[in-house]
Amino acid sequence: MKYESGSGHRTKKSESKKNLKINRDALNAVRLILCALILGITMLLKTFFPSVTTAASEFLLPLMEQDFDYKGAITAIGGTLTGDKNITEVLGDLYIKAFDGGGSTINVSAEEGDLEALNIVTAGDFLEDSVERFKTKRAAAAETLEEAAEEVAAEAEAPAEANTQVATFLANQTEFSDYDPPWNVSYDMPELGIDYTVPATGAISSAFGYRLHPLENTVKFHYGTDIAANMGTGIAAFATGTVITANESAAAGLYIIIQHENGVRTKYAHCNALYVQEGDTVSKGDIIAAVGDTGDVTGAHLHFELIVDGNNINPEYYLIFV
Amino acid sequence: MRKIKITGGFALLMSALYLLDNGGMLSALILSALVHELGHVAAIKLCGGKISGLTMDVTGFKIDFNPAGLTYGAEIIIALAGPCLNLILAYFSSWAGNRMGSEFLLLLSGLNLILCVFNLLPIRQFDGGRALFMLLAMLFNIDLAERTLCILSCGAIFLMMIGGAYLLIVSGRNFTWLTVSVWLLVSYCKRRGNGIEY
Repeated sequence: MKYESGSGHRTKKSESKKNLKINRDALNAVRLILCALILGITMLLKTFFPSVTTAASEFLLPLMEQDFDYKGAITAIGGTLTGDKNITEVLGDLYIKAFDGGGSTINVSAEEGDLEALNIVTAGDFLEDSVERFKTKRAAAAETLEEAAEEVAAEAEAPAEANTQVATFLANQTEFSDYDPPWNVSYDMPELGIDYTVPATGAISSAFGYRLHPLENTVKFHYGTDIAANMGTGIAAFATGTVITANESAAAGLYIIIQHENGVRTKYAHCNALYVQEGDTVSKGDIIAAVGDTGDVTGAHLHFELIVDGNNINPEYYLIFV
Repeated sequence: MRKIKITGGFALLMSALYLLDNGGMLSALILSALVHELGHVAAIKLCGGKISGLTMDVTGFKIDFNPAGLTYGAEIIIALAGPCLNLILAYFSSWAGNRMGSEFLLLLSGLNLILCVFNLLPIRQFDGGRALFMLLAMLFNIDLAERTLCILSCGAIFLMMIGGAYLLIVSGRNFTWLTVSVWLLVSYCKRRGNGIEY
């Protein structure tokens, strides 16, 4: 907008307008300097007083992230673009992780749908919950090493076996100790709480965990266990459950996924033939497929995966070949 | 000569992100945003446009350029150049990340993919919305383009808010999606008249 003065001399109006413009410019300058100062102080704090900023972010981040590992999730998405895992699988896991949060659960049996639980919390509960969780975390961190050791010793019964198994596994993976487990993998040995059996008997041709791919000379993560068996050998269901997927893919060949109780899920891949279909109920030990070499493989074997609450767990902890 | 403007809001945003950054997300984010803008700049230069300035405020980077003399087709290319470059970088860093086992590269890849998809949403001030606007203006007329984008933008933002609310209710605590939807709404209401923001 162009301001035109009718005569040659300055009018009161033009002068006050000029002052206004100067004032506004000054205000903007002050505002910018203030914000730049805040940025500067933040950077100084983080450099010279990292403990302060760490405490602040440790309080704020859990509140914002609400136990959802965003960094891990984004990394997983990035990995699927050119990796082994199927993006729909990853997105499916993400969906479970995002929507299967805390709070009181009410089981709603849907006729055709996948959603198993509906969490209903009020806004007040949610805020209270967050603060409580933060307090618990801070209290836990303040415990002395002695107290922590005492607690572990007190729980020695069942976890003793678990600790040995996990320790053995970690010992085998020492050359990869620099690598964190992938975001949807856990090295723990959780209590499954269900009756289970061995899906196929044979030697373990490829174990769970990181391995150096012989041909490609790269470090890759093996999400399951490969059991070597003759072509056509019957594959038994790990435990009682419902077949949620019986399909074929380029990488996995003919494969089956069974949903069991307590958030346990198993996957059987590279089969030659499938004897069940989606929706079938199977009992522990039922023959569901035959060992084969379909998909991206070099020989006939069963690729067996064990998933608990969305995380891939080491199946070898539970494979007891009689 | 280019004029660069940085608002206080931008500095505050950077403070918050810097404070909260946990291991690499911030640098990956900045890198992704830079690549996105570079894509736009390259396309503008290639199509013969003139860049007059760069603004950095709380809603992101905005490249001011003179659209005079550019065809609709050129503007579509410019709008899509940013997300395209993000997609290319996503694939490249995913491949490199998988080969070298680098989590940072995979993080960068995922971030770029998300940025690409996000920018392609049919919302007026985003690249996808703008490309669609130019396409409709080219095929029909500006009026229709404006009206269609208004409906699509509002519809998309509305759906996002519903999704965000649903996630919050069902998970009981995850309010990220809802926050992003609200930011989208604020962004949409704040958009400049001609909607040219890169």
